[in-house]
Amino acid sequence: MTEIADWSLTKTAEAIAAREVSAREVTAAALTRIASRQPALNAFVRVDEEGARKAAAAADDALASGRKPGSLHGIPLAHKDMFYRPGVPVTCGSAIRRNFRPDYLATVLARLDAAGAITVGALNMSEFANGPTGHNVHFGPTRNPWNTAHITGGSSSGSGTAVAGRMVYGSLGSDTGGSIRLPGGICGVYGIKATQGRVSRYGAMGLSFSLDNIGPLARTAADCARLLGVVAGADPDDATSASMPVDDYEAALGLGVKGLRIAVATNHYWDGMSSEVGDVLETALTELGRLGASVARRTVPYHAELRGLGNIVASTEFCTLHDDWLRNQHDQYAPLVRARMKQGYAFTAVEYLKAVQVRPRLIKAFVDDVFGAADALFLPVLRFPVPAIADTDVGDSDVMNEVLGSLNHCTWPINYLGLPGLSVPAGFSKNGLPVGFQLVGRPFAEAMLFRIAGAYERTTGWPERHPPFAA
Amino acid sequence: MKIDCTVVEERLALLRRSGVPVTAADEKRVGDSVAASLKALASAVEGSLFDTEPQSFDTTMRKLAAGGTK
Repeated sequence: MTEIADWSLTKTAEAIAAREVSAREVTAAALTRIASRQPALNAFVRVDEEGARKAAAAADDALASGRKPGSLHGIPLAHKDMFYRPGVPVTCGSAIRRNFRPDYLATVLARLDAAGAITVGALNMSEFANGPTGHNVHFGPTRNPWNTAHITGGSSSGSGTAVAGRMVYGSLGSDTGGSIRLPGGICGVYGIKATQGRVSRYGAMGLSFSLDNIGPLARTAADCARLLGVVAGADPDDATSASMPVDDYEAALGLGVKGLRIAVATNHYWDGMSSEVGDVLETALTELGRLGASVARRTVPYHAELRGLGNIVASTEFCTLHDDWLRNQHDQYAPLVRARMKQGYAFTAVEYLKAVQVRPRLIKAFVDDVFGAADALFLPVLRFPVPAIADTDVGDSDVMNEVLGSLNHCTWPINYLGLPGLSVPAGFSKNGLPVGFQLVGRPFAEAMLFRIAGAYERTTGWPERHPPFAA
Repeated sequence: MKIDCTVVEERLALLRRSGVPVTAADEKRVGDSVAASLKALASAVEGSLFDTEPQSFDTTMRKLAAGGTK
């Protein structure tokens, strides 16, 4: 029998709601799994076993008393350690905030709570969400459950490995340049960076006002769709949240792809593509074509500009938030993290505001060009097999920009464009590590991305493959 | 704007004046990155931004939305 911790989120939620399994049993299974795999994966920075068991008992009592279950009733989750809950420590993966305890509740946590989710702890992450590998000098590197010598991707590193490692059913991460989609693709799970503004950021640690996004990582497309559906939507506490209505993402999963048009970017995103990753992606495209989608290869505009523009915006905003600490607690940062932030001081106010002001014009031109003739854009997550932890431990060395830039080469441009991007498991490279692709859509077309992912998952079944762990 | 070593040096002077500790390696990295970023900005901003709406990101995104799966 498959262990409860291996079930999908949606299957488990249905089983709890039908009282086929209790929230206590589900939570106990997750805690057992966490205890057995944490030493190898280093996914958690804190586990709240007592709180999780109490919440599970309360969830069971609520069901027994006849209360209608929420869509996540009794489901154990854990999140990147950057979401605020009154009185609960939030380290942001840093030494500087090691003892920080917020006094207010993040909107996304409030929404998960209202849906009945149980928080079992907090997850490791790149320091201040700054770094695409999963290294962390303060808490140690997270490790990929498919091969613990390899990276998880970052900065939502603990989210990727905890979900792929079947420790929890889903997790919230954040994405400023790929930090959800990279650990999603690298750990073989789904991760969505929704349209800029789709998910409230109130009560979440900020890195870059203009480019930060909160979103879920999960093991199946349905699990990911459910989590996004719970946390998405306007929030009066976040003036930057979008007022657009939230689509029914789960309903889109079963619609199929017949007649849909998928564009494949042949420039920039395919530059330097390794043959084995390229082969996996070509197989995925063949499958999407077999399912009835039309696949058109084309170049996409602005690839030369998007990295630089995003860099101006992001680095200036990093410095805005971190200026005091960079001056006064410089040595408390990892060398890599402070080195990445400093370039923000080298841009003028006019240059920053030009990069902000030209953004809508470029987005419109990009969307009109690409999505005028396509329903989704297909991109790699990585262009090479998942590298080893040791090979990417670059610190602030001369190769830092090159190595980190190669990792977020395919994800970084999408944040400046503000478009939704979903990483989808697509198979494995020869080293046994996952390969993923991104589906990118026009603004607020998250349901379209889930529609394609759902059809692809039904025929390929990648979530059925489990990391090679002894239970 | 032509992005030459003078422009980069001006930007490095801004970095040095920030009050944040700066190493030679920082300057090399920042110089390379700033040059590439300013080149991208110059390419993206063709002509004047005079006839652009204030803070139009949100309205642009709403107008470009297609309504989910439709």
